[in-house]
Amino acid sequence: MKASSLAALSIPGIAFAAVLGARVSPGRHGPVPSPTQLRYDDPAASTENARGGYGASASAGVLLSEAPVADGYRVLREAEEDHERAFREALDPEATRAARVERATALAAREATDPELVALGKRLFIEDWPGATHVPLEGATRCAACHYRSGIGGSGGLADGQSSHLNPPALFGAALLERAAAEISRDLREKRNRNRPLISHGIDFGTATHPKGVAPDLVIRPFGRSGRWATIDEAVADMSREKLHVTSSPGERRALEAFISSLDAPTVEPPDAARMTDLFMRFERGRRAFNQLGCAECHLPEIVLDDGTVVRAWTDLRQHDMGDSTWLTAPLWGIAASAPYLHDGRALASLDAAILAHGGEAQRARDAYLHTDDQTRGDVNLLLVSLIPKARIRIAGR
Amino acid sequence: MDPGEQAADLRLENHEIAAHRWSKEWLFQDGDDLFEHDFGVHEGYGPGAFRVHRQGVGGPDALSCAECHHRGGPNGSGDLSENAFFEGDGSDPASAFERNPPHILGLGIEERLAAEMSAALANARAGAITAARSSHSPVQIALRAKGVSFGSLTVRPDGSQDDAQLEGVDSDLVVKPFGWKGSAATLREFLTDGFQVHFGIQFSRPEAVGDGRPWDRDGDGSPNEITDGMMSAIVLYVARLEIPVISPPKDSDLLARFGHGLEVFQDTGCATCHVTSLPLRNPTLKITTGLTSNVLTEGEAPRPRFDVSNSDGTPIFLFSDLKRHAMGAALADARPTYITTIAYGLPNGPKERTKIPADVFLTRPLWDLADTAPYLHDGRAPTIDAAIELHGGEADASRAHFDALSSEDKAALRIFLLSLSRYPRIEFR
Repeated sequence: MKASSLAALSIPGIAFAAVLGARVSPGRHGPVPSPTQLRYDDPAASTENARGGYGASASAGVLLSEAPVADGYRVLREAEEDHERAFREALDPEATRAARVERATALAAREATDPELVALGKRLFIEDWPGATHVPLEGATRCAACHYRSGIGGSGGLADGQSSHLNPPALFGAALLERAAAEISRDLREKRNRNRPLISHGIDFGTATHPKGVAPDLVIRPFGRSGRWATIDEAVADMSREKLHVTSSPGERRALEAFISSLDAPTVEPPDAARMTDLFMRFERGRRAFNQLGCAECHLPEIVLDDGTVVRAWTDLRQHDMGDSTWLTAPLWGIAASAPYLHDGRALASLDAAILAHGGEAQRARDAYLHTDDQTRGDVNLLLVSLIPKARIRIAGR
Repeated sequence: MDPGEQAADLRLENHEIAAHRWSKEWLFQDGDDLFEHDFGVHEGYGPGAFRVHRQGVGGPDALSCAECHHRGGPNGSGDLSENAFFEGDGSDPASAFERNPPHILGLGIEERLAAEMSAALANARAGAITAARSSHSPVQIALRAKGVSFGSLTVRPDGSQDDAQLEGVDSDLVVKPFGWKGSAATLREFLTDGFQVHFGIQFSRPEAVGDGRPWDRDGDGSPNEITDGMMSAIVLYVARLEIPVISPPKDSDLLARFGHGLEVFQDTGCATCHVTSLPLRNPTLKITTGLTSNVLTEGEAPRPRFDVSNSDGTPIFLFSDLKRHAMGAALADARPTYITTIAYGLPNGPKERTKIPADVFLTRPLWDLADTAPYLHDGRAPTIDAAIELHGGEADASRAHFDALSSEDKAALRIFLLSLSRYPRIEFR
């Protein structure tokens, strides 16, 4: 960012970092949001981590807190420790690898929110796996190769789709999705046993004889573009085998699961109501239009869990016939930072193109969007670009 | 929410830069925005998207520069999953040149170093031509620049040359520091090609690819996709990025091993090609009319403190001789690469098609090696040791020395190489 705009930043930690000589980058979505914007979504209800809140997220970056200066110091100190440790571990890479597997096994029994387990998982996510083999257009040497945009754990780029033609999604909020899916699955099984219609959390999954949007086993699988995995653990096991070509130990998978679970759910950052009132009003109209056009029938803005947790993921967790094939309703949270769009990235950087590429069960909503006026289409786009990952003070690339 | 709004903000022209309408800071910001920008079809992206490039056209295969330059921080290297497949048939990866994205730090310095070396070689040739003319007989000279030998050259009184004894440089004697095979001499040339092959975004210039109308060569209906001024901003941006540093361990035992590692690096013969440092005399990079940048002192922090007082030049710890070397059959591409050069490097000389043999690569600068795994031109080496083991050809002897090292020495070498890194940077995103 240009030097002159550094002074304009109101967050002391940022200016502080600049003084330290570190480069400060704003998110790709523009200027640093004000703290009031960050609190637009009630953090207590919706953005808190499903497995224990902010505390567990320490090593995923540092959440912007009341003390950003301390946060800046902390991430710099962590970076220095990482640098020093890399030297120590280089003394004997094979022993290091063996020690890591052992350590993962030892920590595996701990809570998923355990800071040491999360920290180990983060390293396993970022560091190259020694056994990873080079097969052109098939995979990579580490998880973060394809999950990095807007910070570690984010989505991949167009190039990362590779020969599978599956665009790597962001993993932010995965724990919350897993929890919601498990709760709905449990609910559906109960309803089937009691011969009730399969409606859970307001979402219609058909009947026991004709389930709709869910596999016959009534297990909701929120991960994978087509709804392949019910849990983070399953996804990690398959992806490490298919994409890294390595076999991960149960302890390592547990650590990776803990790290992925620690990633914050995305948030909403609408235009500032005071300074950009016109745009804010368009954002509000966008929310209404999203419902009226029919987008919200599948991209359900929120699911309220039994304990009152609100999952603002903009998905119904159902599979739908989209014309060419069956896909899970993609969660739209964080979508602003997840180009290219759609399961194979075919919509490139255009949300408009992504909406217009909808077919099958979404044909009616897509047509409604196509035939509405330019103003309304713009409103909907404005809503979508407000759905962003949660920003943190962090060391770039880690 | 006009989708073209942001793109319109990024447009600027060289004549505006020449008239000093934009400050360097503003131009840097513009380049930064372009680096992170996801290009859209309305901005000339495309047509289409091809993960494996098509011969002479390219992909497109990415939405933004940042997509493939992110490892270890912004402007870093790319992962295996972001390897580019150049000059292929549009579908089969085996038909293409597979390349791992390198980091793009310190490139302004590399351009200046290469330019000074090219100038030294051109001077030597000019002197030889004068000598040949006055003596009416061919003159053979040894070619050296910044202590690096480029073999020898024989020039005849008529100005023609015999370049059979040249080493590691084309017959135009232009040192080309960019690309894994050393295919481009200037950032502008290299970045222009990058926009073409990765985004399908091109200049409205005759040399742009395609047979469409002059203002829309690729015929995608989007005219004037990028301006000279925008490219100037990007060149300035890249030239002013942070510069890698040597950041040794703090622990005293590790620090001793680091020192020993540097000795091993030199004794084993690594430093024969990965020359520890090259002296830079003139750090002023000319970008366009009215726009220059001092590649040592100007630009973003963090950057090492350079000793600019030395009249012999400022040592740049690049760990490359900026020369091409044969690396053996195991590392070779399936076929040679061809680049366009200007005959004899003359300003108005005819264009020539120059071959770079399949097994020949530029000595990869090792600065910031710590953040750039997986290693080698196609990322085939997941570890530093594996990368060294894969060296062949001219590096055969050094590799054999490495093989014979004790495990202590190998560990010291790894520790030295891991110190070639960059400062951690704080970001808010």
